[in-house]
Amino acid sequence: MSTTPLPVAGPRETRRELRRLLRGRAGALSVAAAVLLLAALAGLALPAALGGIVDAVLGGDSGALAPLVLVIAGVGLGNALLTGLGRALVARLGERVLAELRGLVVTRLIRLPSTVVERAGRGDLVSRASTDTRIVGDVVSNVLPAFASAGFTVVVTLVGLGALDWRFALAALAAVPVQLLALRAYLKRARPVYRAARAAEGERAQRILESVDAAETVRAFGVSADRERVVDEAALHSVELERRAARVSVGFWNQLNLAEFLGLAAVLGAGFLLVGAELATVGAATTAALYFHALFGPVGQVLGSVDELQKAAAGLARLVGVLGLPERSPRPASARGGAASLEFDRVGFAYDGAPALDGVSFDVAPGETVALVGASGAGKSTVAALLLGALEPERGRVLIGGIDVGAVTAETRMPRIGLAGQEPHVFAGPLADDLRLARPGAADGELRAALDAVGALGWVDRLPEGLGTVVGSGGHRLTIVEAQQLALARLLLHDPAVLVLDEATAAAGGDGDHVLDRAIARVAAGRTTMTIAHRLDQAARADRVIVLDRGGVVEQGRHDELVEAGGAYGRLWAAWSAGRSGERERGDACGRMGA
Amino acid sequence: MFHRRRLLVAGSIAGLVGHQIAEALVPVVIGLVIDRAIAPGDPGALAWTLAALGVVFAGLLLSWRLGELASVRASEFAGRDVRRGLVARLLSPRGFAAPRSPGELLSIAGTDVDRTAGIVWVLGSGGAQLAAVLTAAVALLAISVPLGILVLVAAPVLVAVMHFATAPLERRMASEQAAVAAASATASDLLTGLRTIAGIGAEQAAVERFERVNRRSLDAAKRAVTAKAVYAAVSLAGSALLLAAIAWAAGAEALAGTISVGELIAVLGLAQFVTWPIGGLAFVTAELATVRASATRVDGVLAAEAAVDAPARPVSTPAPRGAELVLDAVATPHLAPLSAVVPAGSVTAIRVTDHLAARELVEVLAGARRPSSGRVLVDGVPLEASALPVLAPPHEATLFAGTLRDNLELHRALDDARLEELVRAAALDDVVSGAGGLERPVGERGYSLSGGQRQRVALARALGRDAAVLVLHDPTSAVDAVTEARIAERLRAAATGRTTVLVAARPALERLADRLVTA
Repeated sequence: MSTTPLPVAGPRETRRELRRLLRGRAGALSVAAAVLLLAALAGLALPAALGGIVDAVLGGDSGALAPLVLVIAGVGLGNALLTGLGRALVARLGERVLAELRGLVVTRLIRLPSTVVERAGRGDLVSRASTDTRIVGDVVSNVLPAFASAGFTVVVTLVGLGALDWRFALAALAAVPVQLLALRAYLKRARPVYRAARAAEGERAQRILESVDAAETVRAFGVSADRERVVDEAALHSVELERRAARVSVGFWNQLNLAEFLGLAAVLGAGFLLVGAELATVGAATTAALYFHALFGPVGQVLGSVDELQKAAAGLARLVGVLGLPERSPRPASARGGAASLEFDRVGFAYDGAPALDGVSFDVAPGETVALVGASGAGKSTVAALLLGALEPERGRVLIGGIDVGAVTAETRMPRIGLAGQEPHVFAGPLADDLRLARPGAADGELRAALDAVGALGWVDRLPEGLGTVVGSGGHRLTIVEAQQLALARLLLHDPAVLVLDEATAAAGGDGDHVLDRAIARVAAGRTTMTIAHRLDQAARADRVIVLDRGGVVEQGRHDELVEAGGAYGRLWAAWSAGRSGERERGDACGRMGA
Repeated sequence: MFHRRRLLVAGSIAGLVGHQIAEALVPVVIGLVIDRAIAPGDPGALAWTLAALGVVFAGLLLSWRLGELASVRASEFAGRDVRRGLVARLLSPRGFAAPRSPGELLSIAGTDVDRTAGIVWVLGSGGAQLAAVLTAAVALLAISVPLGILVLVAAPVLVAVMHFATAPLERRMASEQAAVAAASATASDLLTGLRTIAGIGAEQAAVERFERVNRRSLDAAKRAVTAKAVYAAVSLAGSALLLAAIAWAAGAEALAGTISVGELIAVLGLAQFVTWPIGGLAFVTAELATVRASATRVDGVLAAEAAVDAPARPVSTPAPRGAELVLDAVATPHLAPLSAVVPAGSVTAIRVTDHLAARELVEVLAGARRPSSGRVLVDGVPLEASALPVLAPPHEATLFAGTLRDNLELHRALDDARLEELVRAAALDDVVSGAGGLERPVGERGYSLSGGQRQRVALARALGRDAAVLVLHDPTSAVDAVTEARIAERLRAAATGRTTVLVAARPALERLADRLVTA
């Protein structure tokens, strides 16, 4: 199946979403803008007062000094206060909007229809939720406030220069063409270099992670030196690109410095002419030069942020793009427990035109245990996905507890379905939180009972902090068997009427198989169970076996009957049991004992 | 880490210092232009003072270029060196006595290495800021001794005040970053486990869990915003007061005629400028603390206790008929003392039903774990001293990004005939017959293949190595019954010419063993 990335919003869509997010916050936005404007005006008074001191000295007016110094201290403190306040207001607003957007995006991603997820790949989902929100978040908290306050300062200072004498402002504009050219060249050159540098960094991290994760394998095969070289190649590539990025950035700042020089020289030249023509005082010329000098920082801030802002805009478009996707309507679930009947009525389903199921029909009585057997690609997993509601049948009907899954309304109460898959995910965080996903608000006692039922309480109690131990990514590492037991405990807490076991004990090996067989028997007791089995002893223990081949049911019946009949299942069983001898009986005994 | 690049580091510091000095000189030259050219209306003076301004800007430009490029080069290469050492330790056959989570190790190999190498920036920019303050002070001293002293006294006081304001800022920014990282990690974690969530109908619970971390992240961000705003206000207020004090003193001196108008302007310009490097200096100690914390974490990994002594594993030609393996009362935490003789060239199954015991036994044979008692002999020589290659890969089939061929070869080129043999032995026909054949990319960690396919690739990879003893731990546990039977048929042929040990209980494979040992 080819991958189709999640959509990216266009500029108009992004702006519309941004406006929607800001709609209820117009008041806060205008207060922040007003405060930053006042701050910039106060900042403007500083060079003016300094120029006033120059004029006072030239005029020998010693009485003017003290009031001017007080003005400097007063407006300086006012500017400090207002700038701090303004930045805080902008940042708070930005953080609130960001948090709301982040919540909307992640909620939507969690509720995406599984066909969209499978097509996009989990990597795309994860990168939207983490990388893109982080890029936008960094800009909101670190760039936006300073950018906003610098922007106001630049505009207000230019107006101040003009108020002093319009010719000063005109002279200052000498810097603008150089700045614009520098910015244009920078954006053009920087983007691909930065993108390549980030990609190289990602590649390096990826190779390190892969090697570290596989450290045991690397050591066993004695290829440490080779893996080190693979990592170092990526590291060297990243170094090379970082240096290239630095050259681009240095070029940009050098050009901005050049613009500063041109502008400053022009302002000083204008001062020379204006003072010579007695159109301005030396103090005014001083003020103008100091205004322009004070612009260096804010102009650099504004121009230097453009790149970051554009990156954030791209991230934003990727986030808003997610919001345009459909949401999977959750099936209304009934109370916990019980057992429900299942019926597949001439069900057909195809992935991108390739048929996976073709006219599949079977019934399962409440409380019955049915094993689904077949080679890979026979359609077993599609049956499971249809039961779970991850896929909708294209043809025919799927009925659970007599209710057609295609005709569910808000009033329908569907029996609960639960699935244990082949590679269960262990959620990062305290083990108790992992379990509570299945039953929010469950008491510790309920959690312990569920763990006990699947034979996991022993090792959980031996963990450093018991139920509070942090597991999953970055935490205590569980073995495959332990992770499966945890998944089964979650299922017990979920308490479904129909249980789907999709090769749930596939990767355990050794006595892990038996530990899990016992646990599964406990979870399955009293429920309708559909086991997708590839270990045939699981099939042998089922009430009934359904054999699928190339999207259709080829055989069904009790294990003994099918073995007797010597059809497709009989041949599979012969191959499977050839080497098992005494092993099978033991597995059976364990399973019965548990049930 | 910098001894080989002393020149580069010197260049970086010199460049950054030069840049700050040039920045400090800009207001001085502005004063010069006004004093010598504008006030007296002297066009000749305008020409040479503007030329002087040009020279200062040229110096500013070039020193920035030198400082920035040298710093990037020094820190990037230093980072590469540190990372190389770190990865070598992470993959070293000595292993780790106390295992660490991959997430933690990745963060150390990423962020902490970068921060450690960032010492170049901290020292360079710290030195440059100090140089800028001193330059301003010297310039002021040259103009007026009291003004110079004023700045020399005020600067440390301001640095101290701002340092005081940075303490909560650093703390809250760190907790903001941690909260944001937590929100992001929770989102990735939930989305990675989306299938499991769907399996227990926990979408709503997952959404609520994310909303909780998202709220915490917002709260931390708001606290950091406040701290940042307070810091900005404190530093701006300090600057304003310093400016007012200098303006007062310099204005009084100019009115008294002890300094000229040009000198007054230079002083006012310097006063405006000097607050920037003072603000920067306030951060240096915090930045140094960050570097130190990161360097300590890196050192912690480099110096971590090893699981086994560095095994001398000389490359050698395999014994033509495999080697004899003797387990002499080998015991591990989960494995009761186990003794067995595995004859050279045989296929021997060792049934270990406790999966933890099986895992530990394989680790011992891989040389990655010291047995709690007993010993392992290879052709009569203790395993750790043996020159004969013993290959005992872990049960988890870990693949690498790359092609199918890359994974089968794993850094040791194989010819096509050999690859074909391996594909057949591990029943990989279905994987190879797909698009791309052997050149098919398997994706990150081989995740584009199913669990059973990955396990078969791992089996073929192990069979492709010329080991005197090959230890396979439940090599078909994720493979379906039919394929497992097919592998069992073919494994025998692939096992000739070496000693094969099958650990654990997969009866389909035990069938082809010459002998069975039960733990």
